[in-house]
Amino acid sequence: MNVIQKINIALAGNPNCGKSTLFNELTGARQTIGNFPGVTVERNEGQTLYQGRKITFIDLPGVYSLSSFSDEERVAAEYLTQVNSDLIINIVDAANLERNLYLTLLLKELNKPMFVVLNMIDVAKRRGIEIDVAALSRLLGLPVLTAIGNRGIGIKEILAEIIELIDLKNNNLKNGNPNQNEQENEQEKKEALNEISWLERESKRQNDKTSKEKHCHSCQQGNCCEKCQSGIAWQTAKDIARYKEINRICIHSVQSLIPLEPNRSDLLDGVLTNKYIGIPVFLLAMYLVFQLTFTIGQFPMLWIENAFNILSDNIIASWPEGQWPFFKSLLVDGIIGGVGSVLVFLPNILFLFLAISILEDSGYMARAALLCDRWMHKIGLHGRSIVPMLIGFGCTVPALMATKMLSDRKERLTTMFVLPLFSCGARFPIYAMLIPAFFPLQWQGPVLWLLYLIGILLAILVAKLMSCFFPKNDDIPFIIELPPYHFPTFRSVGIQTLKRGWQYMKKAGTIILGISIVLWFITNYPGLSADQKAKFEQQRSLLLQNVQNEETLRTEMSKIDNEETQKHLSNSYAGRLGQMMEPALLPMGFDWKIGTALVGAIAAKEVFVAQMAIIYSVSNTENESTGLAQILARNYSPLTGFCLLLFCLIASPCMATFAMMAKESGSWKWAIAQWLLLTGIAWFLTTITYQLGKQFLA
Amino acid sequence: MSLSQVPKGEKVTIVSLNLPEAGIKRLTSLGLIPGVRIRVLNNSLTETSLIECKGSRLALGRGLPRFIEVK
Repeated sequence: MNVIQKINIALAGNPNCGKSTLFNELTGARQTIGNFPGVTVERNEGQTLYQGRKITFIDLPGVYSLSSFSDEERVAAEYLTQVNSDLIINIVDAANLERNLYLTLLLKELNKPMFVVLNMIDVAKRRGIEIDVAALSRLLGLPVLTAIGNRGIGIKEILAEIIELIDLKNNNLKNGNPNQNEQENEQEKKEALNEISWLERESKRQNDKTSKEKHCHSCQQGNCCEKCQSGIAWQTAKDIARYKEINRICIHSVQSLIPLEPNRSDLLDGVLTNKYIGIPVFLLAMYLVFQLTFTIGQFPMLWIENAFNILSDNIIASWPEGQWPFFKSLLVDGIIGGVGSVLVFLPNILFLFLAISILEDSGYMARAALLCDRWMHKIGLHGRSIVPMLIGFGCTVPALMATKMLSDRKERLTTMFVLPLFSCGARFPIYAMLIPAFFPLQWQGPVLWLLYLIGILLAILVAKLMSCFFPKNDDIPFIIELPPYHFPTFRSVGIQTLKRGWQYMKKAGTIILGISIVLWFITNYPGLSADQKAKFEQQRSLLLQNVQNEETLRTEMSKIDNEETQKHLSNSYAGRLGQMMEPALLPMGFDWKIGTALVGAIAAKEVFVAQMAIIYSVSNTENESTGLAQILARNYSPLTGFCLLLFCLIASPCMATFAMMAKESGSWKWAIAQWLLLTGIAWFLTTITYQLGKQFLA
Repeated sequence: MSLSQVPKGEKVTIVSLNLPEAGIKRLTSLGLIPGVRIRVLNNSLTETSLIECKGSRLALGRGLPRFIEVK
């Protein structure tokens, strides 16, 4: 009989203990990323085959304890208590043993098969920490292994230990061996009880200082609601007992505790978290991230665009004349165009996550979050929110992905919600066309500046409002660990970057493709009737007969072509939608032509310019934006121009943003809410601006 | 005195945490309990203290240091 045995392993440990590095080493590229149900916390799962067994590893979020004050802790605790994993591996930062052991004791109390891996044992040694592994194992009552995750040392031993423990467990089950840990647990409870009398006084004193109301709110999550104070005392007594135990373990197994001498990290922190230099250095770092993501990222973007153009051209050239026009258009404009608009974001996303994982791995991100927290907290957000927001000035799609680094769901949703208000790069072509068309040179700069400013102010306002709606969690203090600085490894940065790229393709890519095909359809169909087509054909043949001069023939011909595309678009579903929307657009000073272009701009903001060009039948051959600018300036007032800028800034996040929002928030509800709310705000503000402006300027 | 008043470089012992339960739990899980020795690395940032405790560097922000009594 040859059945492959399946083993489920949960990896648990503190943040920054090198858990993910070990996870990568244990599983290689065979990973899947998902979300834990109901929360935005990521679920990383990976597999490996070892000695004919299929071992599945779940990389639980890094936590300091198993209480339920953050999504991560809740997820880890729920997973460990409810899901029946065969084995828990507790990864411990050897250089930080004392603090890490707190979680080890909590895990041990779960009474499940587990062992401990002392990771980064080399770092510990370098810092003069000698750990007696055998003694530690004896004191903990658990097997203890050592590993150096980033160099792949200790991986084989971990796998061997897994097999050994699983076999032991199976044998015990067969022999009906009772759980031996139970007795120890009883002992611990007794120990903890002895501490209570002293602790009761202490916690009562503390409780008197804090309001009862706040206290009971936090109790809702714990199990101490009935007799609040004794509940707390019990919890605290247990904690004190745990730390006593940790102290005892460390005294007997750790040779030298860390001398409190300033080291390299302290020196760096002296500069990087300095009151005055810190922020400028952070801005410089963000500038470099921006440059890497968007300036270097634009080259592969251009290659992708070119490759897709060549592909479409070749298909058009080799397509049998007049055959299956629907499929030709679907393939060239719908599918290839759609896949192109998916892939075009990929370089940005890869470069951004390359930069972010370098910042994370080096330990700088925690410092950046610390520096920005003072301002971000004022609008109800975490210091880390600043990074996606700055990325948002480049492109909202990678910015939405960057919110992964925010662990709190409320903060993450709020940040995602306001990200489209940070004016992205795709809106720039709209500004670049409209601003010079309507405003004299001396006003062009200030108008552009004003637009960015309006976006930022609105984002602050919306974030502030949203944080009022979400229940406050002021009870949880703001503490972040500042991990020691170190050089990120090529492997871990590489895996992170590729993982994100793949995730984008798989999750958002399919949706973006779907929406672009829908938009292709509504801007191309139902098309012109046979009569209208015949009319244009007739005009063309007339022209061919009557005009001899080649130059005039070409210009006249393109005039007819443009007129046809214009008719085609205004007759399409998008055009009809634009006309239908006119009553809603009029208060903002827009007409159906702008409406039609706005429908097209749902695909991507920069499409607005191209759509306007089609509607005003500006030839593709001449300089599109200058030609169009002149026409627009003739047809609309500067007030309408400004209103249009304002509307494009705030309204209707593009479809890629929409798709990403749905995927990253875990629900279409949020994406729809965001789209409607932002479009609503845009309509309201633009209408007020237009109506007031009309009064004043009249 | 409170942690926010400790000058840079000083070593102090935590006396008590004047916080609601959730706060105490969080600090406890990071090893910050009464009786523990900590070293202040930087106290110049607004409402924030950088400390070293049991070999790890922690930043306590948003006015938290004011609620930690040390000696």
